[in-house]
Amino acid sequence: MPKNKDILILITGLFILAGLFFTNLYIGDVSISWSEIFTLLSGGNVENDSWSYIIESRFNRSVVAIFAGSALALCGLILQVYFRNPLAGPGVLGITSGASLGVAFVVLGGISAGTFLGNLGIISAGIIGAFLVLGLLLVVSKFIQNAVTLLVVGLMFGYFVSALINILFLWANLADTREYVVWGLGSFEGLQNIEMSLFLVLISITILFSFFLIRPLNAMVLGSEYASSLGINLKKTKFLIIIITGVLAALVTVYCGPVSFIGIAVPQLVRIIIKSKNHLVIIPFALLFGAGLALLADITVRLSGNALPLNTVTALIGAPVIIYTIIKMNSRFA
Amino acid sequence: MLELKNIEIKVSSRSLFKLGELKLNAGLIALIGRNGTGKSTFLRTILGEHKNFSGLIKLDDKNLADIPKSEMAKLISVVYSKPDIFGNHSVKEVLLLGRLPYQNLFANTTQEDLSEVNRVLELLELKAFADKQFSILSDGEKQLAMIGRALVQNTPIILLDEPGAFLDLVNRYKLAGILKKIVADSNKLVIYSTHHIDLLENYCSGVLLIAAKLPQYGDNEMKYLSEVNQFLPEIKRTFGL
Repeated sequence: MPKNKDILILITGLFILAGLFFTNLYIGDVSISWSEIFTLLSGGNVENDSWSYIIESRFNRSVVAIFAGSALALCGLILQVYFRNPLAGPGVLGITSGASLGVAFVVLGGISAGTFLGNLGIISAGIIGAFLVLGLLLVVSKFIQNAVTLLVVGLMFGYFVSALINILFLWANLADTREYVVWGLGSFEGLQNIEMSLFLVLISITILFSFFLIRPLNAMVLGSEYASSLGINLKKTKFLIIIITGVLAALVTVYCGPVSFIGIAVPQLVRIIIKSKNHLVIIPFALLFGAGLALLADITVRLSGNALPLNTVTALIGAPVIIYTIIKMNSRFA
Repeated sequence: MLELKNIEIKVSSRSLFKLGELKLNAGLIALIGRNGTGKSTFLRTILGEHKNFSGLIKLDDKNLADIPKSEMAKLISVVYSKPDIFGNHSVKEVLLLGRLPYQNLFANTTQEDLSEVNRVLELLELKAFADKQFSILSDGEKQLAMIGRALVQNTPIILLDEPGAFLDLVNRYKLAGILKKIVADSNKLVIYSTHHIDLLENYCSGVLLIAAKLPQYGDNEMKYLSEVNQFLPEIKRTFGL
């Protein structure tokens, strides 16, 4: 049962999100008026044909930002509750690193992005990399019951994979290295047509699956022993959590780069602002706040004339949020 | 309520202890045994979490192995020694978590859930704490809230694994008093493991004693003591005190 104040925040949040969305359509090097933007969005024609391409590109990156931000925030929320650790996030299980390894293999191996086959190769390799780490985690999790130990194993996977990527750099030429490094800075730009539809559909389906986690997550705040005594099937929950967070983190990482901080910061913001303890309410708010933060970050990137990389902006916004919550947590929880 | 027959509880291939035949009905039962003799494992076995045992365990005439997890959550609730929660839940919200077995996929709170929470808040005299944040409470208050959470789960059996481990002397007496009150109030079977034998005579109706001949394992057995005046002498004799 959502509290009244939460509903008010939800409505305000949706308005702010819409505002951010249209701001991201409006700003940019080429100034296009509101009336022309709306004409283009409703399928009409304006004098300058090239404007439709500009608006389409602004529209696409905004939509990608919304979905990527939501996905990362949801990942972070699920992992933080599961590991009962406010510092858990999509990066910590090594899944992001796994995806990075896949991408590194293809990009540093000399296959260039931009061509259709090249893109397809990068995407498949990234997803394979993420699921390789995921598979390993599933195998290891059969032997490890303790969530914190699993978290440490995930961290170690991450370090190990990063080391492998560093080894790959040894063989790569300068252009490929540059391409990989640029991908690593993160960006919501460049997705279109089939690729974008695939991205949106897969993320939406996975997010829908997270509703099976409402009861388990509600119970997990007490710890796994209590959750089990409340009738929660721990094995099924663990499996579902690994699959959902794995798919979401892999998709976003492959398409947008290893975007940092959104996954850790957003769930903490939600926990501070939202009264309800039911994940039926918390999950939508995590999606909303994640989308908003990602859009805000993209707007900042674009206001800087694309000079600032996405990961720099997310760190600038995210790190203070995390520090603030840690201080607040220590005074209240410890 | 709880029926055990020819039980042998094991950890990997090692036998912890054996138990002949035992039927437990409503009452406050203490579980006594030295460190490592299998108190927690015994509780986890009844919960269906520890499956490495031979023999027959029946809950309300149903075989333990045949009871699905969702049903189990309506038969047995638990309290562990260290109360700890992730998030800024109020005491009321902690209690509400006990209603989970009765909620649907979306975990919507019903009027019944709320009235059950209010009933327990009153029973345990927790009304004044209801809106306080759980994490700022003292260990004693936290444990009381966790017992409240178990009560809200509304099960005929409550198992507590060393609920008094982190409590001071006064709070331990208070805890035992509350457990006794719960049994008298609602006819539940409450089993709690403990190392504090000073309270047994005044509060408990029975004692489950793991008579372990440490350090050698092998032929340990669990005894049931039902004579109140035998509790202390028998425990001391068993442990060679």
